Amino acid sequence: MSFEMEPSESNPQRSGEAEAEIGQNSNDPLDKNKLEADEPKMVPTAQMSFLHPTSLVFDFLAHVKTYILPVAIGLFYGATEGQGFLLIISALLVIPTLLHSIFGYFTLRYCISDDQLIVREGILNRNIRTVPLAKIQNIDSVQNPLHRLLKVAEVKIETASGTKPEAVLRVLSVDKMNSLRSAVFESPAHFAKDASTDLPTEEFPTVESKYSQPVAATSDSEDLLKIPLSWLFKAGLASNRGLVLVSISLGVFFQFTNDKFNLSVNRLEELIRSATGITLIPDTDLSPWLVFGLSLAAILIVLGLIRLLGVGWYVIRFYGYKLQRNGNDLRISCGLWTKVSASIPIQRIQFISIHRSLLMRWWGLAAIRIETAGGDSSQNENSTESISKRWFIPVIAEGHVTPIIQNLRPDLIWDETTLEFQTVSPRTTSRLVRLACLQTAIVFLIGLAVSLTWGWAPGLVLLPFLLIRAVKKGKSMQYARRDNEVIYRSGIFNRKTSITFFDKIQTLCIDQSPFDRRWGMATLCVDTAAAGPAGHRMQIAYLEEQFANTEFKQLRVSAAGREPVFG
Amino acid sequence: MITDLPTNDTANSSETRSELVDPAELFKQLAPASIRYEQMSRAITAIVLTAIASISLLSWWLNNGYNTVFLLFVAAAFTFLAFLFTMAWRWPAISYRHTSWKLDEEGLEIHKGVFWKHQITVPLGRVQHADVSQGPIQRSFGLGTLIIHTAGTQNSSVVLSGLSQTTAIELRDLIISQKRGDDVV
Repeated sequence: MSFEMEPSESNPQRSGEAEAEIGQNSNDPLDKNKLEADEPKMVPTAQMSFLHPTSLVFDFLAHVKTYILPVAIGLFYGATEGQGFLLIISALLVIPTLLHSIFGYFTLRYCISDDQLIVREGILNRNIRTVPLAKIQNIDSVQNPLHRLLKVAEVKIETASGTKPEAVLRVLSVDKMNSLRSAVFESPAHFAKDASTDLPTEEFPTVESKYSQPVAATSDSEDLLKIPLSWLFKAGLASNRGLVLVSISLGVFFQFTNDKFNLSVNRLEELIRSATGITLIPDTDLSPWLVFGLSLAAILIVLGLIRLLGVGWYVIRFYGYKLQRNGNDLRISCGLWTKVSASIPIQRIQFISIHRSLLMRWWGLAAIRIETAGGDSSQNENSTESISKRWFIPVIAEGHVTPIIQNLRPDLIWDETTLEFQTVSPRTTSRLVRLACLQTAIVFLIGLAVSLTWGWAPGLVLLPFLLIRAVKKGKSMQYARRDNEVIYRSGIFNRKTSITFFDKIQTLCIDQSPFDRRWGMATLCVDTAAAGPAGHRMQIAYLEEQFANTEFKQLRVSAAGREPVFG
Repeated sequence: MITDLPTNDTANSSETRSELVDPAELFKQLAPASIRYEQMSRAITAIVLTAIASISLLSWWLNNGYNTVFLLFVAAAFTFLAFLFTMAWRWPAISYRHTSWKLDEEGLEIHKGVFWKHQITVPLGRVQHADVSQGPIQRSFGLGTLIIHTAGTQNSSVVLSGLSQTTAIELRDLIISQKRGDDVV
């Protein structure tokens, strides 16, 4: 579509009025219709605002970040090896990005006009994006230390559709962001969306009555949870995050080690040796016990350091974590250096999962993950979306779990202790024990094939572990169905309890392998949208065949009867 | 094919109906022509495999001559191919007997699988959209494939192949028209 740089001649004043009406509802329906009819033309360029001037820098950095490593290596080698052309090529790579950033800054403009967010970019391929405020689900923001120093933030605007944010404004000043937020979340249009979706009132009275008073709800945003530093410490100690960080850095390390590097390490060792007279690798004979003890101590120290790294990761990421409820939205904000804030509409929660690892259970802690439709965050651990799903509540004391869960769904009455769980088939244990024996036999035979003298050892060592696991696994799997939700619990060390709701069930299926049929068992699967980030699939195996079938029929009726409740 | 598909006006009688009618009676089989179609498509695969096997064995024979190992190999290959052809002939009928579907007030339910049994149901309210697709061989048999898309993750599309084209289209239209409520995720 063509876009006039000048205000359109048809109604020049109208656009001026539209600008004045930011965040307000235009009461005249006739006006509204007119405005929507020629909406791209009605906001003159002069009244649309640029991004913050520092956008130039941040946009450039964000794009350069993706290929900084090769360029840096190129520059380094070019400089050290005296190869000028490498230097020039590396420098040339950066220039298009620079131009792109400058061009992008001067062509992107945005404004809010008549309940719509309008973002316009490009000169040759002009792209005008109009997002109705009522459709905006999230306004997420990320602030790294540099952002905070300059009082700006990267803003992502999300709607329910697709996996990408609808618009990314990189960057806005904090004041602008706040006014955008209030314009969106306090505009009458935002509440109109609750009325516009045809909720079945007679079927869902509780939800309806709660959602239908949005005006009262906005003013009070109540704090649901704040995570103290001590929880983060414990969670860091309990997690394997450090191990992940170490493995990533090891990968990077091995990527760049070459002969030169090894030479420098050797030289370093020589230097130390000559300076202090201490040999790093002792030549003297030590007693084997001393060597054993020392290496054990070294391993313990390394493990301890890894755990400390985990603590660091948790603190840096989740320092000052705050969960707030603001009407129908949940707001999360956290971060020591990079501050992230995200909002989640309660209606969009599909799946709730409570994770309790072994150490966390000892310390009386848990973690809560949720799944919301739209946006895929299973890949990127560090994005804003993963805060609102995978790391919804990174750590929480056991006592706080129940009230929080109840806040995640208005009609949910949650009390884990009184739940009547149905365990899987009693024959599961014998089936799994038989499987464990079979596995041991295979390991045993392979061992014997390798070595006749010692080959039996691995199988024998493995047997008790496999047996214990088999017995525990059968007991750990529990299933419950209630008036409105399905609950599944599993895991021996890492206990996971997941909840989903009848109106969120997308498909149901029963799978039966030939082995299942021999044992009279079946697997019941409950599929929901966006199943992934919570890391717990509802696939309830080893159920009694009869039970699985009746459950399937019941759930089928329940899932169909409950209309989806969404915003 | 189908005459008594449930329609919208019976939507409120789900409880009474499931008591009165034996659910097994509601299940319908695929179009009988689907057996022929499956036989044919499997036979084509088997023929292609035979051709590949024959060419590779022939080229080996021309290059290296034959010995006992080669003859054993040939025997094994042709036994396997013979098995493939038998299965191409027999399997579709067996599979046909184990496949059934029903559409009622709650949604579409499909049962399939001979050794690995699989049953899946899609509640009508969760259908995002429904397609009917038809390949060239399917067209000659008058068959169509119904594909139902949901917002789910593991079973985001549910496929029912081997319906007659008219049934597939009828089913699609019924599912779309019965798809009630607001299905925004």
